[in-house]
Amino acid sequence: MNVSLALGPSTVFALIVLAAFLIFFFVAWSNSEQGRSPNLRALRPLTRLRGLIGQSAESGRRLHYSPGSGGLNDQPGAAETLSSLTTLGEISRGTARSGASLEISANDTLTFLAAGDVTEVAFTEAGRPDDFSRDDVHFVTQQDRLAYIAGVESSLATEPTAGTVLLGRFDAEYLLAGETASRLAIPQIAGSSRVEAMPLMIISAGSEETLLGEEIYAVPAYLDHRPALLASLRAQDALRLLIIVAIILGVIAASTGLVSDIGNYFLR
Amino acid sequence: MQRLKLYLPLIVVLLTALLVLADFFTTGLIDGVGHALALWVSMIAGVLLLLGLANIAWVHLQRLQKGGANRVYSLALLVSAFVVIVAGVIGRAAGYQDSVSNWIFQYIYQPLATTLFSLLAFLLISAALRTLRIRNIESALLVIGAVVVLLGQIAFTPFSSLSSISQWFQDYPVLGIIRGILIGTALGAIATSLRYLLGVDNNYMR
Repeated sequence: MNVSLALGPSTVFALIVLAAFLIFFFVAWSNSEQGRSPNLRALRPLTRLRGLIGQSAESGRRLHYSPGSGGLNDQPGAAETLSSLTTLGEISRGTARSGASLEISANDTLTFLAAGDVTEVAFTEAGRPDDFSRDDVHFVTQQDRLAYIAGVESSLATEPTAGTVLLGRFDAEYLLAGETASRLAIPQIAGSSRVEAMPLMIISAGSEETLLGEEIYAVPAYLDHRPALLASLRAQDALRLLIIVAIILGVIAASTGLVSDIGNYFLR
Repeated sequence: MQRLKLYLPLIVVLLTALLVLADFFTTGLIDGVGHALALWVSMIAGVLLLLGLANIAWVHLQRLQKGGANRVYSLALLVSAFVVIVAGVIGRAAGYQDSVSNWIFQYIYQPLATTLFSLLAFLLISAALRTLRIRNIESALLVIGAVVVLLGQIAFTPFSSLSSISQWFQDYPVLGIIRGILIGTALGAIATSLRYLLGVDNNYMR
C-alpha cells in the first residue's frame, strides 16, 4: 500500500490553518480555565434578545426561533446551522428559566431532530423538563429555502408572537419573513453570514437588531461564558491577526518585487 | 451506563473527524471514506424525512381539530401532501416513472415558487423606503451611495457618467468589505466546526 500526504497548495494552507487554530485554541482554553477571560465588546442585538425573552415570559406569547434556511446536511451552511443550534441551546435555557414559551421552525430533518435534542437538554438542565414539548419544534420543509421561509412567514402572521429570532444561513428570501415581522411590529433579531442576506436584514430588522457575518459564530460565547467558547473566540482573533500580518507582508513582498506570483499562489 | 451514554457519541464524533481529516490530508490510506460518510448522512436524512412528515401531519391535524379561521390552510397542506405522495407512488407503479411528480413540480410548484420570489422586489422597495431616510451622517452616506450605484446602472445619459463611479464603489470599498466579512466568516466556521469535532460543543447531550 502506497500511503502519502496529499500536499497541494490548498491542503498545505488548510493544514497550517488547522494547526495554528488548534494551538491558539488550547493555549486560550488553558488561560480561560485559569480565569483570564477576554473583554467582550457589547453586541446590541444580544441585549435586545434578553429583552425579547423577558417580553415573551411577561406577555405569555411565544418566542419564535429559526436556525436558518440551510441545514446540517447542506455543506456550505452546516457551520452556520451548528452555530445557530448552539445559540438555540442558550436561548432555550433563558426561556426555560424565565417561563417563556419557545417554538422552533426547521428546514431540514437533521436540524429538526438536533433542535429538539438541544432544547430538551436545555429545559432539563434548567429544571423544567415538563415545560418542553417536542411539538414545539416544527419541521417545515426539507431543504427548500423559499417554501421554508413562506412557512415561517405564515407562522409569524397567524400565531401570537412576542418576538422572532432568525439566525443562521439565509439568502434574499429572508425578506419575506423579515418584512412580515416588521409589518406586524413583531420584534426580531436577525443574523447571517451571507452577504446576500446581510443588507436586507439591516434594512428590514434594523442595524441594532442584526448580527453580521462572524458575529453569529460569536453569539454562543457571549451568552454562555464557558472557557472553551471564550477560547474559541480568542483563537479566531489570533488567527485573524496572523492573516492580517500575512496580507501586509504579502502586499510588501508583491510591491517590492520580492515575490512576483504571491497572489497567484493564494488564488490557487 | 450513564458514562457510556455520555462518552460514546463524543468518541464517535472524534473518530469520524479523524477519519475525514486523514482522508483529506492523505492519499492511499483511506481514500473515499469522507465521501462514504457523506453518503451515509444523506441516507440517514432520507429515512428521517418520514419523521419530519409525521411531525407536519401531527401539527396540522391538531390545528384542524382546534378549528379557527386558519384551519383551511392546514387542510390544504394535508390534502396536497397526500395527493402528491399518492400521485408519485401510483405514477411509478403504473410505469410513468417520475413524470407525474415532475408534472406537479413543473406546472404547480415552480410557478408558485417563482411568484413568491417575485414578491421580494416589492418587499425590498418597501423596506428600502422605510430605511433610506436621512437622519444622520451615516444614513446620508448610505443614501448617497445607494443613489449613485442605482443611477450608475442606467445606460443612457446623463446617468451613464455615473457608471464609472458606481463601478468604483463596487470594485473597491464594497469588494474590500465583502472580503473582510468572508475572512471573518470562514474563521467563525472553522472555530464552530472544530468545537463540534473536538466534542467541546456538546449541548445536544450535556
